Amino acid sequence: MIENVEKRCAIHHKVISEDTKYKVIALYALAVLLLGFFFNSPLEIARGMWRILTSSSILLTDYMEIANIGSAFFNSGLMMLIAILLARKTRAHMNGYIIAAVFIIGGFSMFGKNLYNVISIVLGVYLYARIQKEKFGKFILIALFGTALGPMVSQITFGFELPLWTGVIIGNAAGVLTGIMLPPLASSFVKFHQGYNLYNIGFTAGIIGTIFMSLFRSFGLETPDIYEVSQGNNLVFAIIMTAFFGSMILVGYTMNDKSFKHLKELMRQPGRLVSDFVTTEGFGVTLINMGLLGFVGVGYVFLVKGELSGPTIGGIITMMGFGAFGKHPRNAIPVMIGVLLATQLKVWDGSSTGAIMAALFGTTLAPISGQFGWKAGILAGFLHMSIVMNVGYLHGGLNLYNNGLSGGIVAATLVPILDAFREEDSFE
Amino acid sequence: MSKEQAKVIKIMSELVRVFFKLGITDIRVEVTNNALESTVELTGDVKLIPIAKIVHLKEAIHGARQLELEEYWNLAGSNRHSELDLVGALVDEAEVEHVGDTLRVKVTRKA
Repeated sequence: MIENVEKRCAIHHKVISEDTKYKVIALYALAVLLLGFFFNSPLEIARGMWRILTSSSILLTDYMEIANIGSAFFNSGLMMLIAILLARKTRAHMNGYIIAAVFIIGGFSMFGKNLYNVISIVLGVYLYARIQKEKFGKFILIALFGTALGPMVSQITFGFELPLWTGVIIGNAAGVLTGIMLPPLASSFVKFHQGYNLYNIGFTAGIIGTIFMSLFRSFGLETPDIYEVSQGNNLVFAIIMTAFFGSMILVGYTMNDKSFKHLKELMRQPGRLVSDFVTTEGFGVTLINMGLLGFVGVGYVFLVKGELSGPTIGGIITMMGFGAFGKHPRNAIPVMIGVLLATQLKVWDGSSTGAIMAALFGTTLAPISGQFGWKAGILAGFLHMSIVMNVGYLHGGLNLYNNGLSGGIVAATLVPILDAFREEDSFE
Repeated sequence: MSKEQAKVIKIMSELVRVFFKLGITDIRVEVTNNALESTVELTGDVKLIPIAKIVHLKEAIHGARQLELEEYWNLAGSNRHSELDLVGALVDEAEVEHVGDTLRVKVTRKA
């Protein structure tokens, strides 16, 4: 099957072997892991990892704040490497969707995902595949993206003050159950927003999180409001991210025959699900696009005078990862402008972590500007800002992809209206 | 109806949508489904189709099955916008043939 994909790609762009693609992405993951030792000693990282693994991890728990910077990077790199290994074991192609999944895990492992709270969810998806007598490879994306509900496992284990082993058993049982529920729901919910919300699992996980949280509340269990976010590291993080994204553009440029060819074609794509830029435009130019998006993300944080912290760096890394699967500066920036406008006219401080996250993760709605134009993108971002600040209560912070839940609601509402009032025939 | 048959219906809908978009309104559709594989074959009469559109069609549905994208099968043929790339990811083989005034597209999805 891999040869088959390569045959298809060979039609109009240079084919990069699966081995090479895996190595490039794994090297970036390894770099993030090793970066941890630049900030902290191995002992400090070990202690920090223990703190991370035993935290409730619900939104907003910045691992840089509750542990230390080195541990957050170590955790992020480790989780990415495990995701890559899992993808490799299932013989998945290192295409746009897997790249996006790897980096979304890396991003959220700065503030919510860790080895303890994702295992049971992945196991649940695996069990679903076994029950259905299907290959696990068919569900690898759901398994990777589905780790959004990791904090639910951690919260039950460590946050509800249950006896430890009771918490471990109930928490992991809930994780497995979630994993079993995810595949049929994800496949069904994608129709709701018609592929205009790139974080489809975010929407699905948001609904599952809402159901679980409603059950918890009916038994008198409530999640606390958590806001533990690091600050004061803008300079060092800006230097690191410039090197990271700059190298991505350089590597992509080299692998793309030392050119920017196909970048224009990539930017013309609406980006709606399923837009795998690696397959359609090539691996090299996709890396260039990812690097550019990374710079857009960092630029936004500095524009609004915000803080580079675990959650905002996580947002930038996620946005960059989806540069392989639907996002590019042309369709993402209008949504970010919409969020920025909203912060100027509404009650939120544009430089707050929540507002910055809304702008970065709000680019889940990039396909709306890609399909309907930049004005529609701004409108989507403007609306998203209000919705995302309103839906967190529903799942009590258990779903890390809060913006995916909001994005699904915005897309499902806007797309039929935009379609109905579109003058020209939108039938591609 | 099995889930596999539901997927075949989606693939067929998407391909019919593509034919309509190409301006083909007289379409013959043949669908087969058995334990080993499913095929969808569309034939339509057309006088003038820009060659670029045929090339795009060939690129998009080249038959490079990608198991990882099965999750999104529900998107095919279900809205106004093209999901040709998705159809390409859902099928193992694809033939696109343009001879004279006839366009024939056949896709095969193995069980």
